[in-house]
Amino acid sequence: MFKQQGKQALNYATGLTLYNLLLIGVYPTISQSLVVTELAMNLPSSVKHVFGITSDHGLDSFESYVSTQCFGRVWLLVMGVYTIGMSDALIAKLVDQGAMAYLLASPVGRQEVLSTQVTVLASGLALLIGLTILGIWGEVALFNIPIDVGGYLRLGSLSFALYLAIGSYSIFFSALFNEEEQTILWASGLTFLFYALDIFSGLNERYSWLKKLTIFGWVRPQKVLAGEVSAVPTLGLLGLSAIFITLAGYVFSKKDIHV
Amino acid sequence: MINVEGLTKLYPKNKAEPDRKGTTELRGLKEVTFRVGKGEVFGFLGPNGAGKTTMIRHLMGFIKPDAGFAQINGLDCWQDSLAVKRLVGYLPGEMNFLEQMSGLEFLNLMSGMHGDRPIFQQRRAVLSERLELNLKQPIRKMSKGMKQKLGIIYALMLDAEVLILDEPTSGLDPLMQKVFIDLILAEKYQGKTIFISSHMFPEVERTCDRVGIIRKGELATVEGIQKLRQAQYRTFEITVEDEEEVELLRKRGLAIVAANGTGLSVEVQGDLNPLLSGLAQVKVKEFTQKTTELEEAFMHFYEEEGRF
Repeated sequence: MFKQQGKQALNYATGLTLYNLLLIGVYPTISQSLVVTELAMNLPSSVKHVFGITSDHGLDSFESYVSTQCFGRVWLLVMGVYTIGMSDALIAKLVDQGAMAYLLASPVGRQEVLSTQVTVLASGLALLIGLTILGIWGEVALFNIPIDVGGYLRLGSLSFALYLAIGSYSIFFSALFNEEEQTILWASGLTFLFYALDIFSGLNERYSWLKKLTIFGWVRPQKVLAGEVSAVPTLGLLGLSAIFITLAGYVFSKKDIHV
Repeated sequence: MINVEGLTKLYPKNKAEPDRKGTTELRGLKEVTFRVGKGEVFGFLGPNGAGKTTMIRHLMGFIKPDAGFAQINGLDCWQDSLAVKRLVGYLPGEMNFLEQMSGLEFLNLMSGMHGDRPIFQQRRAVLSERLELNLKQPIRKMSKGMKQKLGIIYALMLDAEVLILDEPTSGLDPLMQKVFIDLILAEKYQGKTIFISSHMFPEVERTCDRVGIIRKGELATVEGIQKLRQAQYRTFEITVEDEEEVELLRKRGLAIVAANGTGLSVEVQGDLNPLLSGLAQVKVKEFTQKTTELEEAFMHFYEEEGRF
């Protein structure tokens, strides 16, 4: 049993060093978006309005500003691309290219291979979100802006749950199709649909019920930063992730894999 | 050791390549049955697309048969795939590794996944020296031949009881092919059971005890290597000094299938000596063996046996 664990740990370690390379590849994009944020922070408020830096609560607090900027479009997009790309790379790409053959030729079960890949994905997400929040804390310290530190932790865990949910259905598609094109198409299609529903629901009061249908609707950065407790959506998203990961594991262990 | 019985796997026709040559057949494997004994080297020969890799995917438990079963050491390759994989060293036909790693990192990962026994390290060191491969190189910078070597090191370092090798010498230069054959013979000497798929007869000729020939998903025949060697037709392109000599060779009863002035092609089945003694009588200017496709080389064999 311990031997098994050690073996797994080795997998994780090697896998992580490998995927860290990927992470480092993505990180500059994120840090760039933070640079943009810093720049925007020093602009007069009229200019900010022109650039769409507004929120339901206006710009009276740093929290609402951060929620629209740091956790706004660019970050959502980068995280979404990262999550879907990673989910694809972890299963479908390996099957498509044939490298999965080596993983499956070892006496490590398919479920175990899948859960290793999910762990890699989850740690990647945790790292990215952690870095984002650390970055914000750093900048906040730099500019001497008082903030509620706990709020960011709550937002971090909520974002983690959100992207884990996106990642888990992407992994599910990845395991289901074993083909890159299909995986990316379905995963990004569904994610975009959720996102579009979220935007749409915000446009008009009549459509606000749509919020309940989209996972993005469960995440309201301003409110969380303003002190709302986000346990229910966080748990909900985690539950959703668990369901899709279980499904992915089931599909992956039962299907024919042509490698 | 390996026991395949009535294995059938049918695929719906590939939509990407509609009706090649107007065939309406399904692709896949049809009722393939064979056995490989412990310590035996079995060659699995067939042209491209005949179903060799599909067979190997079944042995590795990557896909589930529609009917029949494949067993290794009495364990079902699909249901007990984990137990089977503990016995098997596998060389995939396509060399696609995790590109970001170096050869060494890849082998470390694989050792870890196979339970990291000290013998892996020893064998790895010996093999990389024999095959002259620098393991520190990143995989994405490796040539096709180098990747093939890495794959061979991986499959052989595990010291597995059963080796399943999919076209193992593709991409290797002739010198390395020789090294590979020596390695295989050494494994055979240790009593390993070896399954080699190939589309080239010479590749299996020097290592295998028995050969199964697969054609369009059906196992056409399983024969001892001696019998196949005798049955194999070889064609030689010969140029002699003048046309009289062509006539001389014809009189000796050689099967001249085409003659064009002083150039001729001679077909030989099995024993080469009649040809050689004939050629001793004449002045030979050119002498080459025509490379024959597998299908062609064994077509006569099939015809004689009345199978097709």
